[in-house]
Amino acid sequence: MSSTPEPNPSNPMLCRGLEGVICGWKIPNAPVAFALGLSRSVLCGAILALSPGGDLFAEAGGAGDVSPDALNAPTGSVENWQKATVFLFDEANQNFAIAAKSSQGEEFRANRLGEGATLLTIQPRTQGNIERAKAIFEELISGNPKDSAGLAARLHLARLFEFHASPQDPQKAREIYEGLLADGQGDPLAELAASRLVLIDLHSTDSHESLNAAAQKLAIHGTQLRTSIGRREFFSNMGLTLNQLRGDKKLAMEYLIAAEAEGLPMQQLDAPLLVTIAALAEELNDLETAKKYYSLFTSRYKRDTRSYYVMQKLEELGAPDAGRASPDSEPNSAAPAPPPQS
Amino acid sequence: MSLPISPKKALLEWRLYLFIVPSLLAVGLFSYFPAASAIYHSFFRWSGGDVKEFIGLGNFAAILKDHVFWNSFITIGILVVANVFKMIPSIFLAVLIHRLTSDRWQYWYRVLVVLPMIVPGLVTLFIWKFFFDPNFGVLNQVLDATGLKTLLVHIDGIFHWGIFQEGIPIAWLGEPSLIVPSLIIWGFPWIGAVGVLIFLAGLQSIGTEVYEAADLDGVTPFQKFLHIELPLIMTQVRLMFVLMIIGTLQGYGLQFLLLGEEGGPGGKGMVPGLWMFNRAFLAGEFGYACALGLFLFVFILILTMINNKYVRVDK
Amino acid sequence: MKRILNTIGLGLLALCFVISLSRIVMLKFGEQTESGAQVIEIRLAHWQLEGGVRTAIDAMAAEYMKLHPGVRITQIPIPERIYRNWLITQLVGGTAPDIIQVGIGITDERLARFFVPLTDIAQKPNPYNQGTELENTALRDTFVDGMSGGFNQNLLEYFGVPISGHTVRLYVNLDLLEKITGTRNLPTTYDELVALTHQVDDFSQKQGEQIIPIAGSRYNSPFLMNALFASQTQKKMFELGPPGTLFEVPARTTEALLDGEWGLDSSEVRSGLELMREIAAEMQPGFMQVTRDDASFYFVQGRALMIVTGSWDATSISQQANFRFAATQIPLPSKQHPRFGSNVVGLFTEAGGNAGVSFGLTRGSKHPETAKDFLLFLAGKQTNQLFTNTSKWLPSVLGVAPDPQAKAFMMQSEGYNPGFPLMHGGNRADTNRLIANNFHYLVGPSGSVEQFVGAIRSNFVPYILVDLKREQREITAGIQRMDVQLAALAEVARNKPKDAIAQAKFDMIAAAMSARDRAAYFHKNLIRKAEKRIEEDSK
Repeated sequence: MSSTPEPNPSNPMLCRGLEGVICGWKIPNAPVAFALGLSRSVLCGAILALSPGGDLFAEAGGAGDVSPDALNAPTGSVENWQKATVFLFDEANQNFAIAAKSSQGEEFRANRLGEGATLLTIQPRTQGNIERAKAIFEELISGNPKDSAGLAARLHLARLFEFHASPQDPQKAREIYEGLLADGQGDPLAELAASRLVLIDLHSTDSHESLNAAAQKLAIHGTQLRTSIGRREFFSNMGLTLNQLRGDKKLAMEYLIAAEAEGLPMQQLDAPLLVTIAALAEELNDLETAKKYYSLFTSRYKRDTRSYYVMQKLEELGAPDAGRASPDSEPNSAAPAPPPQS
Repeated sequence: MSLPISPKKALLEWRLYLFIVPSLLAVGLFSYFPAASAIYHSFFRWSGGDVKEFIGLGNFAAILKDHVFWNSFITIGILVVANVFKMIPSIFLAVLIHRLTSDRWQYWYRVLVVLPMIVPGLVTLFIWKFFFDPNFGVLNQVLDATGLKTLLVHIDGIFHWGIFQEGIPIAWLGEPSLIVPSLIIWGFPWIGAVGVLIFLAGLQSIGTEVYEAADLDGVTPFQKFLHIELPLIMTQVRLMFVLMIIGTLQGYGLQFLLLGEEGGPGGKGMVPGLWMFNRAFLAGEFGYACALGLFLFVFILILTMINNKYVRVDK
Repeated sequence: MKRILNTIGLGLLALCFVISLSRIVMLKFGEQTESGAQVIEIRLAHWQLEGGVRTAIDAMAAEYMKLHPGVRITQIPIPERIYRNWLITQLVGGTAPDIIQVGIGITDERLARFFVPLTDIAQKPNPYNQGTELENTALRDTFVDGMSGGFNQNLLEYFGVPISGHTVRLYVNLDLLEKITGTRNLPTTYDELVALTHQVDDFSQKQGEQIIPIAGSRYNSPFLMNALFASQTQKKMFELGPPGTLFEVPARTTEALLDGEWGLDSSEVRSGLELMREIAAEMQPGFMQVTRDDASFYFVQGRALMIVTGSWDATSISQQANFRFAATQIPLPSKQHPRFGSNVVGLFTEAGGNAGVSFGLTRGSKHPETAKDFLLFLAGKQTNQLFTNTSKWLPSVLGVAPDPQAKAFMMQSEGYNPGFPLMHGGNRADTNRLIANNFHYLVGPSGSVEQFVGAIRSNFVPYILVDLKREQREITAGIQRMDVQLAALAEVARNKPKDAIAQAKFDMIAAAMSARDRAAYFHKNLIRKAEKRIEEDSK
C-alpha cells in the first residue's frame, strides 16, 4: 500500500511507557503495571498530550497550512464550551447567544459558532432550530471560510447535512468535506472530514470492485493529513469499513496497522482493532503479523474476554510466550466449588 | 340548583376564593400538568430522556398502522363484556342486603362487604396470582380435589383443545387460550364493595309505598327486582357501567402483574394500557406512548359521551 | 368531661409538635462531638436490599466512624422498585444524600448536572491503601475492572466507585440432593444435570412429594436457557468474523442473519432451541408466569432442588434456607458431547466483567470532601475485604480474598465468549416480544421446536427491521449530541493547549465519534438488507 504514509509510532509508544509512570506512580514502566494486572489507561490520550508533539492542536501549528490566527483565535467563552462538553447544551446556547450580542470581530464569530453548534442539540429538536443553526454556519462561512470559526462552521454544516437534517443529505456533506480537506490541513477538527468521506464513499458502492476502487481513490487523503488524530480516524475508518464490507483484506489490514500505530485512545476501540489485524493477518497467512498483534493484545488486555482464545491462538502459531492455554474438555469438569455455607 | 347571583355580589367576598386556590393548584399540578405534558410529548419522538424531536402527527399516524394496539381492543372488548356480567353479583347482593328486614343485619352485611376494601389492591392481585400458580395454586388444587380437572381433560379429549392434560398442572397464565378466561375468572365471586354500596344507596331511595303497592298487586320477589328495583337503580348501574368501561380501558395493572409487559403467551393479555407501558418502558418510545394515551383518552371520552347521550334512564 | 378530653387532645397535639420541632432543630443544627465540634453527617443511599449488604455497609461505616469520630454515616436503603422515582425527586428537589448508588434512573444529563466527577481521585493513589501493595497504584487501577464500572463513556469521566462484582451460578440444595441421590455430588456436565433432573422426577413420583428439579421463573430461567442456546451458537459466532471478531456484536449477528449465514433453520439454532426445550421440561409447568420471588421461594422452601441465579442472591438464600446449599457453574454441553458438542468451542469466560454497586458523590453534598474521603475509604483494600467478608458478595478491589462463601462465585477467567443469544438485549423490543409471545410453543408441554419456529418465522425479519429502525434513530440521536460535544471539546482543547485532560477528552471523543458514525452507516446497510429480504420473502 504505497499511498499509506509511514506510521508515526512515537506517540503511542511514549504513551504506553509513560502510563506506568504517571498512572502507576512508582511503577517503573508499563509492563510492570500490566504484570500487576492493571488495565490500560482510558486516559491514555492525556499522556499523549503530555508527550512531545502530543498537544493535538499545537501539532497543527507545525503544519503550516492553517493561519496562526485560526489556531489562537478566541472561541467564545471556554466556560460555555465546557458546559456543552457535559451536555448542558441549553445553558451553553443561552450564554453564547447573549455573549454574541455584546461581542465583535473574532469573539463575535466564536460566540456565533457556539450558538449555532449548540442549537443542533437544543431540546426539543425542531426543524426551526436546525435551520437557524444552518443560517449561522453559512453566515460564518461567508464571513471567512478559513479561520478557525469558519473551518469549524464548515464541518458542522457538513455534519448537519449528514446527520441532523431531515432528510439527510450525505452527498451535500461530501462536497463540504472535500473543500474542508483542501483548506483545513493541519486543523484536527477539519481533518476529521477525511474519515467522514471514507464512510460516505465506501458505503455508496455496490460491488467488490467499486468498493476497492473507491478505497484507492480515497487513499490520497492519507498522505495529506497532518494531524495524528486526522490520520488515525481516516485509517481506522478505511480499515474497518473495508473489512466490514468485505473489501480487499490486505489493504484493510494495512490501514488498521497504520491506525494502530497512531494509537487509539480507548480500550474499547484498541482491543478489537488488534484482534482484527491479527485475524486478518492469519487469513492472509501473514503469521508473523498475526503473532505480533495477538501478542500485543494479550500484553495490553490480560483480563479481556478474548484473551484466553488469543493465548491459544498464539500457542497454535508457535509464539514463544504464548502463555497457558489448556484445551477445552468438559466446561465444568473441574471439581465443584465447596459448599458455600451451612 | 344554586340560585344565580349577580357578579357584583359574587365578587363581594372575593377573599373566600383564595380558599380554593390550594386545591386548584394541587389539581393543576398533579392532574392537569401531567396530562398536558402527555399531550405535548405526543407530538415528539421522545425516548424519555432529554432528547426529543418534534414530529407533528407522526406518532398518531403510526397508531393507525399499529396492529398490536388495534388487536388489544379485541381483548379489552371481551373483558368489557365480561365485566358487564361481573356487575350482576354486586347488584344481587345489594338487593339482598336491601331486602333484609333487620336494620342491624343490614348494617353488619354492609360492614362485611366493605371490610375487604381494607386489603390493598396489590395484595389482592398477589393472592390471585398465587391462586393461578400451576403447581401450588389453590385453583388447580380445587380442580384436582373435586375431580373437575378429570372432567376438563375429558372434554379436552372430545374437542381436541390440547390444553388440559392428565398429570400436567394447568398453566393458567402460561397457555394462550387460558389467559382471557383467567382474566375473567379473576376476582370471583365478583362482588365489588363500591358497587354494592352505590347500588344499595340507589335501592334505599326507593319509597316503601312502591313496595306496598307491589305487594297489593301480588308481585313476586323476582318481579319486584325486575320491574321496580332494577329500573330505579339504573342511574347507579349506568354510573358503574361508565366507571367500569373507563377502568377496563385504562387499566393494565392486572395484566402487567399476572402476565408481564409482553402480555403473556401469544400476547393474549395485551390491552391498550399495557401496550402503552410496553412502548414507553420496553421500546423507549415515550412520545409514542403519550400519543397512545391521548388516543385512549379521546376514545374513552367518546364512549362516555355516547353513553350519556344515548343510554338514557326513564324514571 | 368534654372540655377535659379536648384539653388532653390539644396537649397531645402540642407534645407531638414540640417533639417534631426539636427533632428538626437537632437535624438542622447537627449534633456535637465531645470536643464540641459539629458532627458531620454523610448520607448514603442504595437499592441493594439483598441480605448482608446493609450489614456490610453498616460495618464499613462503623469502621470509618471509628477513624473519624466527628463523622456519622447514615445508610438509606431504598427498594429497587421505587429507586428511580425517589432518586429523581431527591436530585431535583436538592435533598439528595451525599453519596448515591449510581445506576437506576441515572442518565448522562443527570450525572453531569447532579454528580461530581471523580476522575481526579481516580488517577491518584488511594490513601486508604497505605501499607498494602496498592499504596502507590492509582485508584482506578486498584479495581478488578480498572474502574470501568464507574466510568461514563459519554461524559468521559469517572462518576462511581464500585464495591462489588457478580456472576451467575446454579444453586443446589445439598440436603435434598443427598436425600434424592444418596450423594452430595453436584452435576458437572450437561448430561449429569439432565440425569439429575430425571432422578428428581422419579423421586417425586415414588415419594408422592412434588419436588421441582429446577425452579424457573421469568427472571431466573433466561440465565440457564440463554446460556444453553449460546453454547450452540458459539462456533458460529467465532466464524462470523468482523466486526464481531471473537465476540458477539449484535449488528454483525443481524447482518449474518440477513445474509443467510444463519437462520431459524440452521443446525446451531435448532440444537440451541432443542436444548432450551429439554431443560424447560425440567422446570415447573408454567414457569414463565412465575416471578423471581416465587422461584426463590420454591428453592428456599425446599420445593425445588436447583435454581439458577446471580451471586447477589447467595446471602439472601443462605439467610432464608434451613439447608446446606452449593453453587456451581452452569453445566453446559462440552465439545465432546455426542449431540450438542459439534457447535461448542469451549467453556464460557467470565473475564472482563465490570465491578458493580457503584457509588457516586452528589453536587448537593454539604460535606463533599468528607463524602469523597468516605468513598476512598469504601474503595480501600481493607474496607473491601470487610465488605466481602460481611456481605459474602464478590470483592471489587484487586488482591481482596473472597469470603469462602463467595469463592464459588469468583469469575472464571479462562474460556471463550458465548455465542449469540436468541433474544438480544439493548433495544430489540419488538423481536424480543415476538419471541416472548410465542415462547410457550417452545417450552409448553404440547409445543415443539418446529411449532415455535413456525410461529415466529413470518414475522422474524419484519420485527428485526422495526428494531433496526429504532436503533438507527437512537444511533443518530447519539451522533447529533456527540457532534456538539466534539465541537465543544475541540474548542476547549484549542483554548487550553496545556490541559492534558482536555486534549485527551477531545482525542477520545473523536475516536468514539468515528465508531458511532461507522455504526450508523452499518445500520443503514442492515436496514436496506432487511427490507430487501422481506421483499424477497414476500415473493
